Amino acid sequence: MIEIEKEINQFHKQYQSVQAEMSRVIVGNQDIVSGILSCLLTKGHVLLEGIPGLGKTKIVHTLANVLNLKFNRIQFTPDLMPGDIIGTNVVRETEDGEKYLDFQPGPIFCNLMLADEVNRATPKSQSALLEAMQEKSVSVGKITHKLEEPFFVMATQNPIELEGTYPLPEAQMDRFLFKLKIVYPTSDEMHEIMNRTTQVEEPQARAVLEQGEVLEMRKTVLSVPIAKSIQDYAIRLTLATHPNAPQSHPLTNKYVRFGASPRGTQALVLGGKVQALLNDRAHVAADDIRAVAYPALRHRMLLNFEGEAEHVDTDNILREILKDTPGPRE
Amino acid sequence: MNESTNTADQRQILGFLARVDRRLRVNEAIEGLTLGIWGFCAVLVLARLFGVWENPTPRVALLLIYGAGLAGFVIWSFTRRKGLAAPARVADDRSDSKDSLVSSLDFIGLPERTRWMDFQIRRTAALSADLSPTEIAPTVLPKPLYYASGLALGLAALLSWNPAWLQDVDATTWFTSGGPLAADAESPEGAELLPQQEERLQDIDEALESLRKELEMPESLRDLEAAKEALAASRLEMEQLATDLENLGTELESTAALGDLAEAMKSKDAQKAAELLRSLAEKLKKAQTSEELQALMDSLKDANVQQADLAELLERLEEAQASMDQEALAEMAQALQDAANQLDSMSEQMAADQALETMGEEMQSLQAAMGQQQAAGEQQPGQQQQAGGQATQSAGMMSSQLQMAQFQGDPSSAVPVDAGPAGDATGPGGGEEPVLGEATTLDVQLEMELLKTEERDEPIPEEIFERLSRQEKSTLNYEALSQRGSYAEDSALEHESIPWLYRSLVKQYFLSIVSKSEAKSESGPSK
Repeated sequence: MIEIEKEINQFHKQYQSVQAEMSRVIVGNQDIVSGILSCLLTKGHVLLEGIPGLGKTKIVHTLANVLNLKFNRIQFTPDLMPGDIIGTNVVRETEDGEKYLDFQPGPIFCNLMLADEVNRATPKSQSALLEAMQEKSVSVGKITHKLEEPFFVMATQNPIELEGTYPLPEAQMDRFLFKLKIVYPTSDEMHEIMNRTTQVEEPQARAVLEQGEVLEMRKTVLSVPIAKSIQDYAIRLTLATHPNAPQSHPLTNKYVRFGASPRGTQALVLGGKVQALLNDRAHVAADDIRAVAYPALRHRMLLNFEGEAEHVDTDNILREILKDTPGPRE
Repeated sequence: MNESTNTADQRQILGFLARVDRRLRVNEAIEGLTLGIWGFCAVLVLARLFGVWENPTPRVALLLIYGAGLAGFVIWSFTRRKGLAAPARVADDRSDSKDSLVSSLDFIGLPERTRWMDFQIRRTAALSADLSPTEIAPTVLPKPLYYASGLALGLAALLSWNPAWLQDVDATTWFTSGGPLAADAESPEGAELLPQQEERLQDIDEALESLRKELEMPESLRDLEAAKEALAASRLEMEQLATDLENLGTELESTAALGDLAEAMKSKDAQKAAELLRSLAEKLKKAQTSEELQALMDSLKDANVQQADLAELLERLEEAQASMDQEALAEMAQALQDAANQLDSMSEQMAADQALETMGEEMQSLQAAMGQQQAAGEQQPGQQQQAGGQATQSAGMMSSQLQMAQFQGDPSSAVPVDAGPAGDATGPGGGEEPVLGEATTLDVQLEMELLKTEERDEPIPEEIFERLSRQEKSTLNYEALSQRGSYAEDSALEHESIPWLYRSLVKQYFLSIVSKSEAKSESGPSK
């Protein structure tokens, strides 16, 4: 018992240290940071969406610095090729003059990868991330290269500059555990941003967490048990996003073409576990599930024509689903 | 982790939840009891309304059944167990423990548990030890229970309350003798009714009685009653008729004149004969001997009436004589009445014969007119066709009239010799072959139908069209050509196109008509 309490305390301590260090650089956006850390600690990946200038790349950079992990950034452009991401075989020559193929790893071989403006690359290049994100491996030719743990992809995309972009396919979207929306900072936060970024010296984040500690934190998160009734609630929430299903919500039937996959339920449960630990609990509560419902399900609901035409926001549908779906205690 | 510690934690959680569950069930039983007491109030009221409460045996049975049912429901709601999940949810809700008890209860039920689950169970056990079941699920006596109990007690007391002074009062006596209605009924003012009021009351009583009868009596019974009344009236009338006949028999003795009747018979004036016969019947009733009747019979025979109807009339008269011989006045009168009726029918037949004669004359004039029309129709086929239709119709009608006349054996309805083209030449009225008269000339209509033809010296060479068509060089517009045709109206060409081969023949026909009409107009006006 004491060990588990220690684990929980240690988790708290480490988590808070990361948050504190990031808050030295990032003003506000505590939910974004928490969401990114939740994805990192549950073997997931995160998609950051926001207009330019809100600090998406800055957050990812800061996180890489704080975690002291190997970080790479790929700027996705239309002419980016899969080989530019995963690497390629090059012909080399031995001292004996024999030639052989040598795999030159791409930038994906890292712990933290920033896929900046991921929707600007072609679907072919976007698909290069599929295997890496799900299997944590890269296949080049006949050889599959395992990626080093933790492997964490942070992708950003701009929701307004859609000219010359390639929207992420559903399979790619589904691989992101959370989709976080970065919003404008408040007035106070803007003041703080000005104070920090218009000085001679900008605050720098220190590395407070090593690779092994991150893996330990992951293990702690995954150890948190969840009761069947709570898990049933998460499943019902997911099923409520499916159109024309027995549990589907009326708004879903009206505006949604495809609902969330089982990965959505996984995201709910895993995110709920992180929330449980952050709330100093050794079990997942229904409130933990509800807390992560938006980032876990919003990008897994594909709107139909009517929903697209009426510019329906999936967050609004999820709000109604959360309101109308009976909890485990009801 | 220590196994005994874990078991103690489980027992702690389960015990806590069991206590919470028990209190919840008590609250549910109280709610059921509240509902039952409300129902008891309703039962009391219904029992009073339906008169069950006055009888002791049903009242006790009702109370026993209801009490047993209510007790059973309360016991059932208290003893039934729905598991500990519900109390765990209630405890989580009310203690804001964020699903700790629900999760721990779920973990306790698992066959294999992780150390995290045991840790959670231990945490929850500690939490449940701090929680009080009375705080989590306090026993609540709802306000409706108080209201229902008070109402039920009040109703029961009110229904059971029967004080001594109330028992002494005889309600029947009070209402009949001392009541205000009885006092009004016995007041002296009621005896002093005006005659008009009494009359109105009587009318109202009669109307009510008739209305009651109408309402009570079925329609068939009413019809039967009306039939009975009609039968009684007819009996009275029959009696009156019998007395009248007796009086007439006595008056018949003073009358003896049959000559007028014989004259009427000879002149075939059946109507007059019928009247005389009716008067004779009256006289016959008065006759004491049959000599006068015999003289009458002779005079009727002298009338030389050979028709079957008159023979039948004579039979009636002989029957009357026989009846007179036997002094059966009623039968004699009946026979004379039959004879009078027979004479009436004869009179009607004679009137029909006269009508047929008139019709025959009209037919002759009509056939003459038809003969003239047919003569004219030979020159004007179209006109003849129309006139022939009318003649056919009228002739058909006349033929039917003739058939009727011959069937009735009327010699005066002669068939006209020059009947013309009757509609039905094979009918039964056809005698000789109809002779056609002189045809009438319809000059005015012929002039109206005169067509101005375009004089063309040479016939249109058909080769013009055929040759050009064969060479596929024909540029003539056939429609335009038809519009430039030699006849009067374009519509006539559209409706009835005349082939080129027959056009000259048609032209010659119309020219011949024109020449005839011109010749007649020059000779003088037509007859």
